[in-house]
Amino acid sequence: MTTLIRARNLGKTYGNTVALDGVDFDIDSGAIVGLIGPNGAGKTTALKAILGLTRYSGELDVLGRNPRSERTDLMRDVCFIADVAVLPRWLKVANAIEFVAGVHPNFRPEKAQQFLSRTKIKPEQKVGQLSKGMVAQLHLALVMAIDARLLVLDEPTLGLDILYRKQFYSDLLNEYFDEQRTIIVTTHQVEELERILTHLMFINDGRIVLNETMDSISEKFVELLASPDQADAARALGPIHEHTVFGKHMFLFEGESRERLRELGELHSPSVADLFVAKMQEGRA
Amino acid sequence: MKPFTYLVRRELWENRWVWRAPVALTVVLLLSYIAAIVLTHAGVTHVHIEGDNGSFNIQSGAAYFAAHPLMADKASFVFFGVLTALFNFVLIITMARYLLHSLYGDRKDRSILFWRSMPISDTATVLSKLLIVMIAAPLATFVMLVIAQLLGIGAAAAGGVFNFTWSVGDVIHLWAFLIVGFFIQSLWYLPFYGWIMMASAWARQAPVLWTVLPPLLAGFIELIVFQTNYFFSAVGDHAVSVLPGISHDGAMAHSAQLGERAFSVRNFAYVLSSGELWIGVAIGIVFVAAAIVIRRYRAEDY
Repeated sequence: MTTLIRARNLGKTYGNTVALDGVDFDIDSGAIVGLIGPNGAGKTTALKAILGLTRYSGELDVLGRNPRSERTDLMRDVCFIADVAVLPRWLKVANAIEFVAGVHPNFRPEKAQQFLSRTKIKPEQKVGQLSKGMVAQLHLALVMAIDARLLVLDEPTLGLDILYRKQFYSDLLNEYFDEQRTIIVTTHQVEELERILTHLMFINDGRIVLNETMDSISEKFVELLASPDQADAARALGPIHEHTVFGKHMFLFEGESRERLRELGELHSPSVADLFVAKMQEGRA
Repeated sequence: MKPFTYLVRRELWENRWVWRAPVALTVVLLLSYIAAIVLTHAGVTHVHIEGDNGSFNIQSGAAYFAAHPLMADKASFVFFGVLTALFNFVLIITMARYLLHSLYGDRKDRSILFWRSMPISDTATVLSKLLIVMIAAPLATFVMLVIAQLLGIGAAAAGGVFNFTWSVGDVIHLWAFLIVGFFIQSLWYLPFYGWIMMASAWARQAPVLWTVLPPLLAGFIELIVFQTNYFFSAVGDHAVSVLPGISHDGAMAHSAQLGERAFSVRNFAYVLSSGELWIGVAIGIVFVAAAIVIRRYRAEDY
C-alpha cells in the first residue's frame, strides 16, 4: 500500500469562517474512504482542495503532485463526480463519449458504451432529456471508463431514488473498483455505503474527529443494549454516547473490553449512523 | 493538439447557431431570389429604386445595363457590398451573443465542474472559445457568403435583369479580399472580443451589464470630470468595422474608383500598418489573459 494523498496542517477559511482547521490525514491506495460530516463541516472543502479546485494553506500532496499548480496533469489520474446535475443539458450522449475520448488520454470509449448499452440511455439523447437517475448513470459510465487512480464522489447519489442509488454503488463496486484504485466518497446516506467502505473519516467544524479503518472500528467501538437496572453500572464505564430505545438504554463505548460489557447486556457492532451521531455530539458536550 | 480540436468541436455542438446563423441567412436570401424571379416572370415589372434613376422597368433592365456599363458595375458593387454587410452584421451579433455566454453559461448550470474534471487547462478552454470567434465563425460566414453570392449571380441571370459585369478574376479577387478582410476584422475587434470574454468570466449574474456598464461609466466620468470625450470617441471609432475596407476612411479613397476593382486586398495594407490595429490587439491580449485568470479564480465558487 502506498500513500496516495498526504495532507499536513491543511486549512481553508472563507472570510471569518474556518472551513478546514489545519487537518492532517493520509489516504492509501486501494482504500474506499467515506468522508462523513454534517452540512458545512468542511467535507466539500477538503475534496475541492484535493481536486485543486480551491486554494488552501498547509501542505497537500495528491499522487505526488501539487493539486493547485499541477491540476491539469493531475486530472489524468483523478476523476470526480461533483453531483448529478453537472452534465450540461445540451450535450448529446454520443458526443459526451466522443468528447471525453478526445481530451482524456486514459479513457476507453468502448467501456463506456458497453456500460450504457445495459441502461435505457440512447446515444442520440441529450442530457436534458434524461431523468436524474439516468444522468447519474451516464456520468458514472464516463468516469468508470477512465483508467484513473483516484475517484472522488461528492454526494453522487443526491436526489436519486433508492433503486438508482443501489445500482450506482453496486456498479461502482463490481465494474470499477480494484486494488489499483482509490475512492473517496461523501454522502448523507451513510447506511447505503457502510458495507462498501474500507475507511471511515468523520469531519466536524473543520476538524477530523474520527479516522479509522472499518476493521478497527468494529474492534474499537461496541454498542451495549442494557436494561434500566444496569444503566448506572454501564454509565460508570464512561460511554461516549447514550440514548434510550423502547425503555432500554443504548450505550456506545470506545476501547472498552467486551468481557466487562457483556455482563451488562447485549453487545452489537454500532452502525456508522449511530457512531456518527455519537461522535458529533461528543464534540459538542 | 487533439484535445484542443475536441474543445473547439464542443463549442460547435453547444452553439450550433454559430454556423447555423449564416446558413439561415443564405436560405432567406435564396428564398428572396426565388421570389424575385417568380415575380418577374409573373409580370411584376415595375420597380421603384431610390435615387437619381427613379423607377424603371425590369424588362428593360437588361437593355439599360447593357447600354450603361458603369451603372451595371455600380449595381454589381452594391449587390456584393450589401451581401457582405448583411453577413457581417449577422456574424457580429452572433459573436457578441456567443462571447457573453462563453465563460458564464457553464458556471450558471454548474457544468463547469464536469469540464474541469477533464485534464484541460483553463488557458486551452478560453483559447478554444476565442478560436471560434476569431477563425471558425468568420470562416463559416465567408463560405456561406460566397454561396449566397453565387446564388445571387445565378438568380440575376435567371431573372433576366442583368448579368454581372465582373469577370471571374474579379470575383476571385473579391473572395481573397473577403477572407483576408474577415481575419483582419477578427484582429481589429480583438479588444472588444477580449473585453466581453472578461466580463463573461467575471459576472456572477448579468454578463451583459458587466460588458456595457463599466465602459459607459468610464466614458461618463471622463465627460464629467475632464470635460473630454476621448474614451467614447476612441471606442466608437474602433467599433466601425474594417471589413468593408470600403467604409473605413482612407481605404475608401483607394477602392471607390469604379472600373478598377472595387474591393482590393491592397486596401488592407493601410489597416495592417496602422498603430490602432496593433494597440487594439495588445489590449485584446491583455483582456483574454485576464479572462483566463478570472476563470480559474471564479471556478472556486462552484
